[in-house]
Amino acid sequence: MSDATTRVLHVCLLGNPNTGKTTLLNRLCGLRHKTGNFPGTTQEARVGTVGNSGLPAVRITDLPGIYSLELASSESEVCREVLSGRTSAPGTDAREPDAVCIVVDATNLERNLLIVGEVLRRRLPTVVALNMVDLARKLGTPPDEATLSEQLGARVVPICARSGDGLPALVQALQHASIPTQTPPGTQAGLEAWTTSVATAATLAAQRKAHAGDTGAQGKAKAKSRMALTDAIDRVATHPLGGLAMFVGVMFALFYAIFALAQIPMGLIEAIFGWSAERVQKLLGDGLLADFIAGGVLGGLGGTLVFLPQIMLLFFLISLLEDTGYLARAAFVADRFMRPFGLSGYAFVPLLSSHACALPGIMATRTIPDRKERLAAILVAPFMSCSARIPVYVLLTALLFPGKPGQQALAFLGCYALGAAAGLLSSLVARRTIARGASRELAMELPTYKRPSVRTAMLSAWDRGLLFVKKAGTIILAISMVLWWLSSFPKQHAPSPAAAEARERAAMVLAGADALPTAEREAAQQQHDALQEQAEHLEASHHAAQTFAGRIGRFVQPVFEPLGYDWRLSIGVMTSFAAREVFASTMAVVATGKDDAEDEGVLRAIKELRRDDGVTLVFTTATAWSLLVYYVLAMQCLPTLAVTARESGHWKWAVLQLVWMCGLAYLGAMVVYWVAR
Amino acid sequence: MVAPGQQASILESPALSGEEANSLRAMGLRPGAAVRVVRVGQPTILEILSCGGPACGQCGCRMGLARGVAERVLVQPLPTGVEP
Repeated sequence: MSDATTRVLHVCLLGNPNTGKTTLLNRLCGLRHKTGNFPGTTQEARVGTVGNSGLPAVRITDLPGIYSLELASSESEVCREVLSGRTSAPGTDAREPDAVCIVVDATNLERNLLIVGEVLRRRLPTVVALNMVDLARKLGTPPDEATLSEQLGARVVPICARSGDGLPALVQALQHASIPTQTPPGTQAGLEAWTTSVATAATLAAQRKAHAGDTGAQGKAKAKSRMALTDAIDRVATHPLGGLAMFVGVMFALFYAIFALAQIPMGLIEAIFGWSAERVQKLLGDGLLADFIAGGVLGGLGGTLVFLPQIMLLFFLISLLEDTGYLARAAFVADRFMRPFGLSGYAFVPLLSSHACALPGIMATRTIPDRKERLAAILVAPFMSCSARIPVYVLLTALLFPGKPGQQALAFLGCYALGAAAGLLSSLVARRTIARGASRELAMELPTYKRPSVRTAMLSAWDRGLLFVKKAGTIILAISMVLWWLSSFPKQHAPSPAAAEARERAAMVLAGADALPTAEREAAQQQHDALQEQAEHLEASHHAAQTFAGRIGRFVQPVFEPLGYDWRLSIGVMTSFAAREVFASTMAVVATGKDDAEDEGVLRAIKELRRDDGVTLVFTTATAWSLLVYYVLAMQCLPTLAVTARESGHWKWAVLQLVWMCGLAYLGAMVVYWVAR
Repeated sequence: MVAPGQQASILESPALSGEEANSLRAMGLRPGAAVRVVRVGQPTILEILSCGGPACGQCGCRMGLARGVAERVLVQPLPTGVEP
């Protein structure tokens, strides 16, 4: 038996999209919430807990925003299952909720009442949170809450989720929620008529109670001027040319901000991991343990977490954009140029999200109502250049255009454009073959433009960042440790003949240098140092060739021969199948034995890396372009394949995605290599 | 065909598929709803003035419809100056 203070009430948060549900959850629970998926579905579940002393704590499950419980969409299905107790969010019991909190937009009452009626019909303890009453007051007279409560037979609490007004009363109401005393009609037509009657009663009662005679007129005037402004912005935002220009401008600003603003935190993360690795090696000295911690653990984690700022920034900015109401307009602009390729504006946000990471992008395809279009979007989402490709692009563009930042930036943008073009063309092929059919015509609510909530955007970025850190701390860390082992064993003690020869030459250069004049002696010393450095590189390269990773590289090299890759590049490409970002550090290890591809000296060493003949460069213009094309197009992400299989419902689609993308990458890279050589 | 700025009432639209019609109804575009046409074309933008009853007058909730779906939604223009 439990007393009131230890009992936890299970509350579901339900409502139409854009009613402020997420803002409410964030206000109530802040960072004290967990994000996961409803079991067996792709629907994201956010669960938070709120409580005050002496009363039961309230565990709130945020359900997807829906317009009706009775639609065939996966969001509606999840809501039905949760309300009937057949499924639940991770960490909560699968049982009927103790209470349902329906968030209703006070400025849009009549439409919001449809879902209220559908919940009331289920006879579950219900509380209606009448949100945005502040805005409703500004625009006229908000619905009368007493009349509304009487009509619904359920407690109505006016709140403002953005400012936090009314939230203590809402929590109290949830702790004492009771079964509604009214039951709306059972038929759809009856329910629609009921919403009209309830909304009319609540609006008229509010108008009767209004004190000042001119309140309504003032509100209507404000609403009219607000609408006129929205009309003006919409005329530009959805105009065939103006809309496109605005879209391009916003997207450019988005990506520019991601790259520009992330520079400082990325540098900081790199510095912290570099310093930590140095400290570890100083503390533990030379040895296997120090190598393992510095190279396998810190190297792997640092090489991954360095992208955290960009991922968090992308989600922060997308959340801000979404909150302003612009993204819905952008979906219509994108609809125009995506439709010839078999995709509609519904696929726009999922593909945009894929530029951070294909995993949330693929999961976001749940908003695409047409099953076949959704399949096409899932299959092509990994073509969008994700943040894991960034270090590879940085390395290769730096090798192609050393000291020319303008040309590097253009090549960088070209990679993004190539990925998007390949995705759209692949979608066209999919829609003409395996996923035939017309896309559902786009129909969506265009939310009113408003000032975005920085708090909500920060929490969204925090959520995504946390998921990424978890991935880095588990899957990627494990992969890095395995790679470190493969690249370190077996230990090769026999010296490289080429390195021994270089050392011999170095010694000869220095022999007798003491007798030379100062200038010649200094030149001899420089030549000696260069030869010693070369010997070290040759030794590292010799060692790398003898390790398990080196042997694997030689084994697979014939496959990549037509693309111009030697065994070193073959290792780089193979290790990238575990995680793309590993390519840069793999090449650094192969070239110099150091795990730091950002260092200018290392970049030079990579650029000057030679094949086994000691003459031909590994990175020629042709191989660098070929690699760039390969990395833009290839599918090299196991978690993405797993998510594709889960979302599409079958492993065959993941296999098809792998074969199609890698096949296209192989062909593209081969053509580029043979044209450019 | 209605022009931007005009008000209209939504009618039963048999050309819409079942799920499409249900989805539009749930979003407020149900028969009897009064709308103001903001823009015609790709997309067509409708401001919902009321879902069937007297207008709440405040919501300004607007729907964007691709040309293909907008062409299948039947409407009855309302006389100018009439409050829905």
